[in-house]
Amino acid sequence: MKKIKVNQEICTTIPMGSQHVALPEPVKLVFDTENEVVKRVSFDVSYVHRGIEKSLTTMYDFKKAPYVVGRICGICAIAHSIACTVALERSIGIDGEVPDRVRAVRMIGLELDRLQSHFLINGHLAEVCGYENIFMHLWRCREFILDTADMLFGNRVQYDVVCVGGVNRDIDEKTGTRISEALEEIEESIGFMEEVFTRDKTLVKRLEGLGVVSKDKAFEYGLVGPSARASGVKTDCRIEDDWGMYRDFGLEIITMTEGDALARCLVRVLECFESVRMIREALDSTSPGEEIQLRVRDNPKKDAVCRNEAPRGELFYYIRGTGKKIPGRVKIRTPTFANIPILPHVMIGVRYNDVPPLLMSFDPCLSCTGR
Amino acid sequence: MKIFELGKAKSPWILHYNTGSCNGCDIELLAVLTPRYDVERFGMLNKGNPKQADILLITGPVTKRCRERLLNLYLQVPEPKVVVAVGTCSCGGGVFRHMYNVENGVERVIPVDVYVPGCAARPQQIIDGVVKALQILREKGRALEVPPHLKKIVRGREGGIDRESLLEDLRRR
Amino acid sequence: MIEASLMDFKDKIRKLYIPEKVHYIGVDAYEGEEGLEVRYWFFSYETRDVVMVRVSVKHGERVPSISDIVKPAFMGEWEIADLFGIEIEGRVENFFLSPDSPRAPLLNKKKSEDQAGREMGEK
Repeated sequence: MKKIKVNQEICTTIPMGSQHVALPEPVKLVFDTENEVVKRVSFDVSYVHRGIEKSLTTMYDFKKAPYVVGRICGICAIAHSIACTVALERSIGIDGEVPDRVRAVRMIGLELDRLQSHFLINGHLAEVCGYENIFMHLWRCREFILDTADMLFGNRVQYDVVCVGGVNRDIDEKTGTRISEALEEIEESIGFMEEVFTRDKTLVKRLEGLGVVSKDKAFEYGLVGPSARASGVKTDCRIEDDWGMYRDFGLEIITMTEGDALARCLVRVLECFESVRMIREALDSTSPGEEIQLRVRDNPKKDAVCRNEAPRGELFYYIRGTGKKIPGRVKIRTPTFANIPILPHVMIGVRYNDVPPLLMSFDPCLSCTGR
Repeated sequence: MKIFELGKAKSPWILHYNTGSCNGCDIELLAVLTPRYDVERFGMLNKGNPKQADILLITGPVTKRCRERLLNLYLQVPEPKVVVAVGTCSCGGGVFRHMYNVENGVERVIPVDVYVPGCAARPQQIIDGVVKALQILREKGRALEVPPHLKKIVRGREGGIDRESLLEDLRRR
Repeated sequence: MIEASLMDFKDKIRKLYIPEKVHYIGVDAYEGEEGLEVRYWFFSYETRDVVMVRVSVKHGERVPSISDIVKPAFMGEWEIADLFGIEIEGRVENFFLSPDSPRAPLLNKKKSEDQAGREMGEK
């Protein structure tokens, strides 16, 4: 901690990170504060830069790409895999032929991922507010979701179920019925989460009016995902760029108008209900089919893009096909990358002890950002 | 001396640092601390302060920018300390091996005592690794307590020092 | 897709970008056979189309920043400045790379070395 002068006022500089209890990931935020009130913020997000984009154009061929990009982020791994796969399929020209069963299994994977991610971040938010108890409760509920994923795909976190032209694993009928049972339990725990974030007076008071982002600001800074929807921006890539069957199932875009930390939290809670409904619809719509993998003969040859809705918002993939096994360029724009530019503006004028909840309400994922 | 040893064995505090992993192992580490797996029954607490930590849990393949921070953290943890590398990428690079900004594993920077493979490492594996780390911590602690020139005359596995042989050692000098 | 040159791409983006109707996705660079190019990606909420603005750039040419028109653009610009070695106004040194990582890693190394050699020969 050192004291410096900014505009003739004495500011205290408080660094946060790169190693900190509230952060599971390395990021460095430096705050200049004056009597606890934040005056200036600077950030460094590059601690996790590994160079995955380069390796996709030199080391790994396109059939391995979905597994490699899954390792960009462990929380939204399948969102990355799906976005990459869909872009590759569009580049090869087989995206129209993908069977409905494959789409359904991919949807189930993505929605399960969204459920566990929303539980994770809402629990973490409660913890940085000082509610260790709710953190433990929500993470206990999250274990049911992970159990379901384990049962379906064979792993808790990194389920590499998606491959180019299909999925690696089908869901048989016995597992299907067991999932429907598990979903009821999950729905119950979402109800508990909703109750906590709407009825608990202290938590509501702590989060209400914190870090308000108006609708204009959200448009101006190009926010994505739940953070944008909490400010009233009606955007959802599942509807806008539908690779699955979301339009057929009538996915509802949940928006709120307040734009504060509580709204961002509640949007996530309500989205969980919608995700459970999507899983149910996807399970009912198709039955275990025979063909779950197309045979891929061509190499990626066209330019293709895919926008996929990761738990944190819009995930953008661009693939330049060159007709060879290895694509010419893979561009990944992750959701947190779009949500970071607004952070310094929101944090100015906030008390320092409100910074961790505010930061967590935006659901930052630095592994995505650094790549 | 025995009371310190007992204290250390029953309450090893852990320090977690992510050196560029995919978050998969990190959330599993947090899951280990929560009710289902509950590593607190071994007395472990996740503390952010390296100066209070005994066990260092490292995830990730060590990116170039994280390298110096990792070394700093390692030097700040007081002796005896144990380093556990969690996840395939921290054990040797994993999928990130030979990417341009990566150091190919924790062992290239600091000495590692326990390797926990898996992508992502399951909570059961992590608990197993941490319990192994506890044994190593105990052994390291014993080695520290006895001055090196007296190591020969340490009696048995109790770790106590035989008074007779100590006197003999002094007389010889 | 909109083709633009270094001179007029800012005007074209200014015409295209209306915050309520168009969402800014990101900025990207690519080194193909024709040379280096910078691409700006936008998404139109109305037509649900992804729009690309393509600007071809020579090595070592200075690219103006668009963050006065599109506010969140600065981070993407710093990123490609680091990864492709493009000179962009207001860039921050070592935003993504550390001091000892390879410079401009996403460039086609062989080619740029060739070019450098040719330039040296001409001199």
